[in-house]
Amino acid sequence: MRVPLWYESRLAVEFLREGRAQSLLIIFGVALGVAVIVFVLALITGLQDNLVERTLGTQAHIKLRAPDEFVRELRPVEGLAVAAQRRNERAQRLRSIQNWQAIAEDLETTPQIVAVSPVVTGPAFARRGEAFKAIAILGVDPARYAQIVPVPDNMRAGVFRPTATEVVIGDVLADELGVGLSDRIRIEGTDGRAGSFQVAGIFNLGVRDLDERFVFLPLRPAQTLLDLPGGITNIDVTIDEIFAAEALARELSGRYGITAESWMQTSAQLLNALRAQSESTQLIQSFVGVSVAFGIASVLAVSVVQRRREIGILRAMGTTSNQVMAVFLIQGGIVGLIGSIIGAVAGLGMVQLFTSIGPRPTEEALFDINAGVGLIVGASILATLTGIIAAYFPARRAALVDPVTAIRDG
Amino acid sequence: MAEQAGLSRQPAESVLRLRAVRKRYGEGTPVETEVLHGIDLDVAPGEFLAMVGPSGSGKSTLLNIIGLLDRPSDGEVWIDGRATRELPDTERSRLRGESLGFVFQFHHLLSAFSALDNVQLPRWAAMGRRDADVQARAQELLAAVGLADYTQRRPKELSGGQQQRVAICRALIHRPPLVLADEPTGNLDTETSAQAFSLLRRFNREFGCAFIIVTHDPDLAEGCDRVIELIDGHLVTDRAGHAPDQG
Repeated sequence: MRVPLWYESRLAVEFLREGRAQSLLIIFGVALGVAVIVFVLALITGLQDNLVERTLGTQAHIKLRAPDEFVRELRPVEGLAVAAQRRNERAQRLRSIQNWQAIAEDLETTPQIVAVSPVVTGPAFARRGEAFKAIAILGVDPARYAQIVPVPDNMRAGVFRPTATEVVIGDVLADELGVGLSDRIRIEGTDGRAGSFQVAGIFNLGVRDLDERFVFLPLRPAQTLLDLPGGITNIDVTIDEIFAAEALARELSGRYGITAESWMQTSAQLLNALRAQSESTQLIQSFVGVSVAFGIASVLAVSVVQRRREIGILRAMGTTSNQVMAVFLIQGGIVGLIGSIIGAVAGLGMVQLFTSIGPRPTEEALFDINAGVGLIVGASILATLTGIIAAYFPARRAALVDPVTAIRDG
Repeated sequence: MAEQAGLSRQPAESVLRLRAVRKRYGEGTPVETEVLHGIDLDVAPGEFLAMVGPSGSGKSTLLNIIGLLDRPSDGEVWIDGRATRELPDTERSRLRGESLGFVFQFHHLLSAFSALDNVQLPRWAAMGRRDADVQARAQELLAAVGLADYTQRRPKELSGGQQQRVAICRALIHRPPLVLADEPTGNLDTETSAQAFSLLRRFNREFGCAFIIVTHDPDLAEGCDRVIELIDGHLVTDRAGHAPDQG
């Protein structure tokens, strides 16, 4: 039966309804501000998600590999001249991760890790007739690797199913070698080890470098070609929270004593750009937010002056100063709420319009509409709070109105 | 119903008691002036009292102090048996809402609300909710003053006399022991003024509320049971009125 703040809300609503032009003006102002915030936020988030997704579409979140080999410093022995003044860095040969089966098993039981795929990779050549191309062999377990990079979703022809006699290659390489499905190519690895394979599938990952060089084989023939029997060079890992990659990589590196590189490290430049972009949008948003708050505060301050006499009468009739204060705080909240809902919907409408007529970096939708509901709810809560906070000073003035002078002077 | 509401109230000897009430403005400054010089006054339940005096005699100041809108510099004010000096602001507001009714010279209705809602406002403030009994009583009151067909009108759709009648209903919605009326007819023509006055008189008799009516109109003052006169902040006269139907 008893609704909290019923009386105060009733007064707030009636006051807003009576001052219609003023109320509409302030709601329009809030809506405009929120629309800008939502539009910028949705667009930037959409673009960033898209960029990150595309970046991660062709690389592992974390890549584990054998630690670099290094030259041990010669320790000067007392009484002897230092033997070597110059240190030559050691050339890195292809090496397997030691004890990789145990590491891979352990990784699979780590909670944040979604997928683990051992990979053996190294340089080789592909030859067909006169054509001779430098390639990178990737020996993988296709089912496991598909969880790292979704190659099966990016097939132009055939299937992603390398076997002992079949390989899967990129479309650029296929064009350069002039091969199609079921054609044969010769792959030459380390120390003259070579084999002839049939093309089982042709993929297109959208990154020219990869489409030109990647050749997928099963683990065993790749190990043979690279002269690493039973060994693997990397363990690729997919995790659930992509931005935790760097921290997790550091932890894994410490845990196994091997090198772990996260996508955040290899794509540091992209991340920096994204971060700078986020910071500048946040700055724009806070400026818009502050001006919206000032708008609400100033319109309500005017309304307090206009309603001075009515406030005096309400006080004479037993309304407490706290009740009067609540009336104006509620007005701020209502204005923020209505304005933000209108603004958020308008902002999302602008995003839709923009994605349908504006420049499109990809074929996919720029912005996930599901995120829109959350955005509206978030913006509404934030704007309602902003409205209440902005209303604080006008509301305090209203609460301090002296009924005697207010009634006398009108 | 109205009687039930009255049960919680201790029957007091006076609905209003003033003792040595002084009011000074600009205290501690060279221009300090005292506008009320120690007023003593008792108003019995159901009394119908006129307060007269020239402009600047302190009538409005005294009325504001009685109405708990202002605080005296010295002295004590009891409303319905309750000392008010030490009461915090919120408690004073509550007491005002429960025990006092106000009728102003310029009707002072809230333009955003209908006549019916305006009459209910003091109860809404006190109860914090809508109440069917309050609404029924407001409707009754409006009907009693001849405004049964105007309950949904906004103040600006009513004449001056009608607005003042709504304001009188608003002051009486909770049947307060004391109603304060500041020049209630000052803004009305003679005929409407007489109507409004007889309305106050009628509610005084029907509900037993005491009234303090500030007025400049000598005829009106003489129509009251008791007349007090304020001059230069002193209570100079306190006598019976010449109410025609007294006794």
